[in-house]
Amino acid sequence: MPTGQVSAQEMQSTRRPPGFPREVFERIAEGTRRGLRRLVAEAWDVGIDFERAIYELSLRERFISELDQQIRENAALARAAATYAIRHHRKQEDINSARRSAEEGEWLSGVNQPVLAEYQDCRRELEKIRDARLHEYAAQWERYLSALQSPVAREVRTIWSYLQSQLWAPEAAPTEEDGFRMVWDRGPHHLQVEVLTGDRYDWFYRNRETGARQSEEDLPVGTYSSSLDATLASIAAA
Amino acid sequence: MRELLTSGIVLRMAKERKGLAPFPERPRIEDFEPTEQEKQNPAAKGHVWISVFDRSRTTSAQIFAIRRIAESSRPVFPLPVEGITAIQVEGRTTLYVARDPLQEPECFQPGADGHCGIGDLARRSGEPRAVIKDLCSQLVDAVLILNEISFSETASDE
Repeated sequence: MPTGQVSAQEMQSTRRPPGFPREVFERIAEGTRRGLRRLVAEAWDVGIDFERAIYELSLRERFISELDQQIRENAALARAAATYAIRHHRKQEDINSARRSAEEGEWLSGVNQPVLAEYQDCRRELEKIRDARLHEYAAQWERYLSALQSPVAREVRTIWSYLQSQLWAPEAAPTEEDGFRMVWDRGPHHLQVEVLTGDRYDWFYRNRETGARQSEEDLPVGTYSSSLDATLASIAAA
Repeated sequence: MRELLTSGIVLRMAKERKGLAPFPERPRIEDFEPTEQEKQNPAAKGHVWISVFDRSRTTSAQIFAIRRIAESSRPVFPLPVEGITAIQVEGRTTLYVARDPLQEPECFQPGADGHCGIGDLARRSGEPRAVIKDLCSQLVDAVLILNEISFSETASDE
């Protein structure tokens, strides 16, 4: 047999290297597929935090995608090493080893791709449910706001009239100091606007990924800084 | 001397729901803001702790019983101690979880020995309000989500 060629038996062992826990990976992949489908099916009933779940899914997507990129690069390198070994008449053991590495990487990437697609589909489904819920919620919020009994109700309505062109209806609650807080979370963005008694308000922004923080305190209601505007624009673009 | 936790899960009971939220089950900033009672806890020795329970010693049902609140009437949020003790804002040390024995008569109730406090959530003199907003928002993020369902199933889930 010429150098660089392998027998059918060797090819078989290359495709299914002993000890490689493929079944484990396949079980994980299948479990993930089933788990994600169940998540979408039950999401509405179990009342999950959609923004958080969507964000967690997007982080996993990013992780798997980056991992897969690395695996495919390693597989391509191993494939190139096998070709090099064949051309330079290296030992059969080296050729087989490089081929095994390449095939394992290609196989693993083949497992990753459908899992990644499941994550993407699941996230899109949850986004649709979230958007539907936020659409319904917007009307509830407007009713709540128009009937709000709070020492700062007028100020809350004034600030909301400014924010509503950029943001969706917030999570909102009165504070223990007779003020009122509105909160928005999406992806890496977290924003709080707290209306205080005395016609003033604070805002606080934190980016979960970059760690960036911005805030201003005791601003007169009706004034909006360029810093707040820039923050609103970045959230609206998310 | 504080007895600090370094691992495990602690449970924080949500406050009574006020206001409006599109996703009512999610933890909110106010769930982690100290109550007036929590601000007065002498065991914190000048710090401010919010009340939590060590999940290895106290169940959710026991928390409701200790607090004399109808069972399951509010969410109870699980937080990993490692996640809490990683929370920091500039100019402050990280948060911590300390054991905080309950006083009589609560201390005689089942599960009372799991009571702990997360500190320090005291706003210092001259400190911007943003510091506490920041800490509370990070505590919200530390809550373990999807504790009822997960992104993956095992074969035994079938």
